[in-house]
Amino acid sequence: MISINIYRYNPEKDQFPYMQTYKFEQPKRDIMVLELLNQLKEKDPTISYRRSCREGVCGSDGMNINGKNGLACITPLSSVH
Amino acid sequence: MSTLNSSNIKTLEFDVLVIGGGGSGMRTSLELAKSGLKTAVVSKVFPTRSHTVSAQGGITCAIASADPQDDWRWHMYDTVKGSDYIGDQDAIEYMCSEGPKAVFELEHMGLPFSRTENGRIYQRPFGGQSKDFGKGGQASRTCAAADRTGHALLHTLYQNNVKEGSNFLNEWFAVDLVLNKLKEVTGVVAFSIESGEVAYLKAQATVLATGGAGRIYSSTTNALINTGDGLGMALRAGIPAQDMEMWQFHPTGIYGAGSLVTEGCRGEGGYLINKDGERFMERYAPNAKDLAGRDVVARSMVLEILEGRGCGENKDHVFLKLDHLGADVLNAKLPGICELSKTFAAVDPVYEPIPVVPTCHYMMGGTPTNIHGQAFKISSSNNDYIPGLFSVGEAACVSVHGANRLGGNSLLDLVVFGRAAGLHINEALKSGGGVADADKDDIDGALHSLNKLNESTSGYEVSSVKRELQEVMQNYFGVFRRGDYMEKGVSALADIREKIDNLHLQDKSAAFNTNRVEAIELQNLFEVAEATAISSLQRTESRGAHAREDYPDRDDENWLCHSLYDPTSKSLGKRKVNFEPKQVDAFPPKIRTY
Ligand SMILES: Cc1cc2nc3c(=O)[nH]c(=O)nc-3n(C[C@H](O)[C@H](O)[C@H](O)COP(=O)(O)OP(=O)(O)OC[C@H]3O[C@@H](n4cnc5c(N)ncnc54)[C@H](O)[C@@H]3O)c2cc1C
Ligand code: FES
Repeated sequence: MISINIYRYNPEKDQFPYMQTYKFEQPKRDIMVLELLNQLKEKDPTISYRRSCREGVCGSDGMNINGKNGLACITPLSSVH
Repeated sequence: MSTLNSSNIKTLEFDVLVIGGGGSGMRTSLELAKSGLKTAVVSKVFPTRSHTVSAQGGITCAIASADPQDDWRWHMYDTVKGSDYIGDQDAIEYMCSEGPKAVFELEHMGLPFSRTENGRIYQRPFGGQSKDFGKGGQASRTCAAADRTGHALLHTLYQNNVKEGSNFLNEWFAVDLVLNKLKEVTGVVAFSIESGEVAYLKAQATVLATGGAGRIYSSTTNALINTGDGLGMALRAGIPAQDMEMWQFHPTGIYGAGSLVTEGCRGEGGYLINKDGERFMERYAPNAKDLAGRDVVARSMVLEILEGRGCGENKDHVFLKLDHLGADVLNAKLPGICELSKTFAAVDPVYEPIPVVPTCHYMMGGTPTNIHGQAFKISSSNNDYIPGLFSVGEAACVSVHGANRLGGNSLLDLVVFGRAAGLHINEALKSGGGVADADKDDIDGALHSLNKLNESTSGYEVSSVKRELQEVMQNYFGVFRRGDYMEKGVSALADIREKIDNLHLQDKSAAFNTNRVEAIELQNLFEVAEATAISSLQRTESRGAHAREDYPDRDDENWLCHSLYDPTSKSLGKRKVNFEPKQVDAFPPKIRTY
């Protein structure tokens, strides 16, 4: 199992943003961080993030991952975990 | 959340609404903004994140840079042949002859094309291109900005739209068309993804430029946002769709990931090999080899795999060999491909071949239109328009691509017909054209499915229904098709329909609710998939991208025509193909070989 902390904020409910922890079975093959988010979203549909091309071209999924800025769709999980 | 109706949502009014901020939408809006009409571009993603940004290889056009003798008529001939003779020849003629103007306009707007040594626009060879009406060998007709042509084109158009004062409704999601009692389109209902605010966007003309729907398949080169929303909205409103059986499978999707590697790789001298290292396209297309039409190459690859000559442990893909081109050529002309291969296939094409497999790529079908973008309705003449509704780009079916699109012809289609629609709408509105208002009931009607979703308390989960849908399409409506399999597919879809009508929206929040976005996208995907399935089953022949094992031959007697899918009766009609170009004689159907 790996833990992923995701920065969450729902302006209708939350006074401040906060970190929420999700547990995730270590995938058998190396996946991109975007794919990990997609799989988490299947379990918790309230997770939100931008994404479009899923191949590092459009810039939608720029995010801060373990302290480094990057595009989730071309950041392999193995490179941050 | 309370039930939405015409009195509790606001109205935003424009002269023209362009739904879609990709290449086609922004070329349309540019023309309109220049003419002073109050124009809004509505896009569910920031415009430069539209799928056009991913286009790699280039824009095909006879600008006579690589070959001073090049002629738009040769390009027209190739396009007609590529379409397997169901492209409309008046539209193809218009695209190929107006094309150079549209490409030079882009150059002057600042699109940073690659250059030849003498400073002219660089053109590369692409599949299906010939000189002298097929008699003069391979042509080089695809204008390129390295392998990032779409990126360059989209950013150029965005900057010019900003300059001309187009309004942008960024990250607004269009849900459904609003039609008045006269069956005129008066706009859309849409919501701001950021805030959740819903509005009636009202206009005298509404242009659907919502792009393709490759996500109906589980394996596709298309962006995650390519969910056919415009077509879904049109089908829900009873508006027909044309040639929906015609889906292009691109020969070179990266095995496993689906990301595209451009045909430009083969244009620059790359070729496909099987497990024995054989350049197998020499057997299937002795003249054009790896640069035969995409449908031909994709089928040849599948046959190699089926006959046991595939590569890898499961023998389920082939290789694209590029290393013989050398590091210098690859880094200069195909830098993006080198990056993509390293990221998604873990191979460096400078040293190793890329594993590839035919992957769903492009929707030749769409909302039927004339060359001005006016959308046709179903009528006895098949030539009556829906007032207020236009469509351009991949969402539309003009039809210049017929049964098989040639590489580089989509970007040209976007800018030529985006411009044409803009010019037409400008003239029509300035000479008093327009539509009547919608009333309260009309707007409430368009809010119905959004309300139903918002109020759902139980039902089916979006992600699992989506997966089910994509698997049905992948299994039964792929590169090769068969009547009995497709019947199974059609009945599986009928079961999925019930789930689509009863989705459970788990997240009811207002701000940046992508659960809601994905639920509506799934409903649109379904409409497109159903149209595809029924059209595929009923076209009983093989033509272009539509290859049936049970009807292996082209049947010009019965099917030299467009198919026209009527969503109300879920039945398939026919529409005549145009064989009346204005400046040249029509190209009569011939057997198509490469
Ligand atoms: C990987 C790849 C490479 C390609 N390379 C080439 C090439 O080299 N040459 C070539 O000619 N063609 C190429 N194509 C094809 C070509 O890129 C596309 O057909 C074309 O870009 C489509 O442009 P468009 O304007 O129709 O739609 P898109 O660029 O897809 O834009 C659609 C727009 O509609 C908006 N939208 C959609 N739904 C909604 C909604 N519900 N509400 C609000 N907005 C919405 C989106 O936000 C987006 O702005 C390629 C395609 C792929 C997949
Ligand atoms: S989704 Fe486009 S860059 Fe990651």
